[in-house]
Amino acid sequence: MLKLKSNVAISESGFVFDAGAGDSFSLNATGLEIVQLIQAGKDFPEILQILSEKYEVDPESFERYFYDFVATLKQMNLIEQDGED
Amino acid sequence: MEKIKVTVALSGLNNIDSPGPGVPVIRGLKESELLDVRIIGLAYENLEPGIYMHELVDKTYKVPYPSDGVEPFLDRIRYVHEQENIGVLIPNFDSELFTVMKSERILKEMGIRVFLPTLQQFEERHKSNLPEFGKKYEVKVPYSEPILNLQDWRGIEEKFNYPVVVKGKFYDAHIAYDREQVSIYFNKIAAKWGLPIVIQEFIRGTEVNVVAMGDGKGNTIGAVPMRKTYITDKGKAWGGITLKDSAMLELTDRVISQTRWRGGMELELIRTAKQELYLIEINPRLPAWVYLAVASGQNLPEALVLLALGQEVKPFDEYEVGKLFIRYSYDMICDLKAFEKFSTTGEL
Repeated sequence: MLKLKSNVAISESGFVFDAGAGDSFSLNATGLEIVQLIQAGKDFPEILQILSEKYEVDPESFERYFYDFVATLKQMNLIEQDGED
Repeated sequence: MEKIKVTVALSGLNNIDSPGPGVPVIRGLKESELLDVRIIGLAYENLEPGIYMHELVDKTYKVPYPSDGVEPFLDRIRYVHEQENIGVLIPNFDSELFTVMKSERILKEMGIRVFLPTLQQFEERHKSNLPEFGKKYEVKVPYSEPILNLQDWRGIEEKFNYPVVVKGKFYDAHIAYDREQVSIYFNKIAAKWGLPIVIQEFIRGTEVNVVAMGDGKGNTIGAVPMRKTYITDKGKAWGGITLKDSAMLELTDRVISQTRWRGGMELELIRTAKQELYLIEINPRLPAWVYLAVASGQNLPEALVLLALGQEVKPFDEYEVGKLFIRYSYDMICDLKAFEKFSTTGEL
């Protein structure tokens, strides 16, 4: 399961702060929603279901965007190394 | 509780683009709830900004360069002491430390306290002694060797892979990608800071730093880790942020407890992609960014003065993570009369 690093704090505005590295990032509203779902312990099928109910998006496109986004989170060192999906 | 009245004399008033730690140390002392300080500035140059910052510095005296020798320095301090009754002396430059350490007994007899590393601690953390330091205290350090001339470099070149870091005895470091660049930086740094020049293995990673204080008995009085978020072309921090990093704090505790470090220090570390920490340098004094530690909840300059006065200091056990500093430049307007007075009489 995907897990954000314990040092990572996310504010309601979408501001992400990695207290270990001192890096900060900004998420847009959709990114924030996805990260909050990851933080709540939801896995990909659950996130897909929640967001499909809310937005018009086909599952294939969403899956591609989702894993692109997760790859970015990993590249930014925001995801635990052993927290693979 | 009544504040302790103390006169503190300190250097490092060069609050310029590559700033000395004087002004940040003074800000910490002025904000102390335990100390009522009178600040005596010690300046080398007529245009050190701190001389003219009268809201922070009560009086400044010009002092001779450490390279002029111990006696001229002590004579001047004796004179300043007669005028001001110095309680604590804080040398803020690496280049002054040896002179002040050597004079610690004489200063004490005069009634001036210092709180500095011992000569042994000072010597063994030297850039040129870092490999032995790492071995002795089980700390990862980059491989390095001191050289006295470029012939020396040709003799040891094969032990290194390019790029290498060319470092001065006290200050300055440049990354050199070939022999020609080593030669350029060797000459540049040697002309400014003297010999030896240290050639250090280049460790790829993120530079992180810790400002800390040891009580001389093996205890850490305080420690705050930071990452520079903006670096000037001189490699100095323009901005920085406090970090939550237990590995950096453990390493600091280990260095302080094993060396029984006495006084302020700055650890310069590289964190590699594998999250390994390499110690690249120990600066045996508080750094120019020490005010970030004060603002994060650890007034290390205050602790330094209290320790120098022989007071018991309770170790700090927390600091605010995610606190930022952003340096700025500011054109201070000064009267020519003030400049004239300092440049002619050496006092302001």
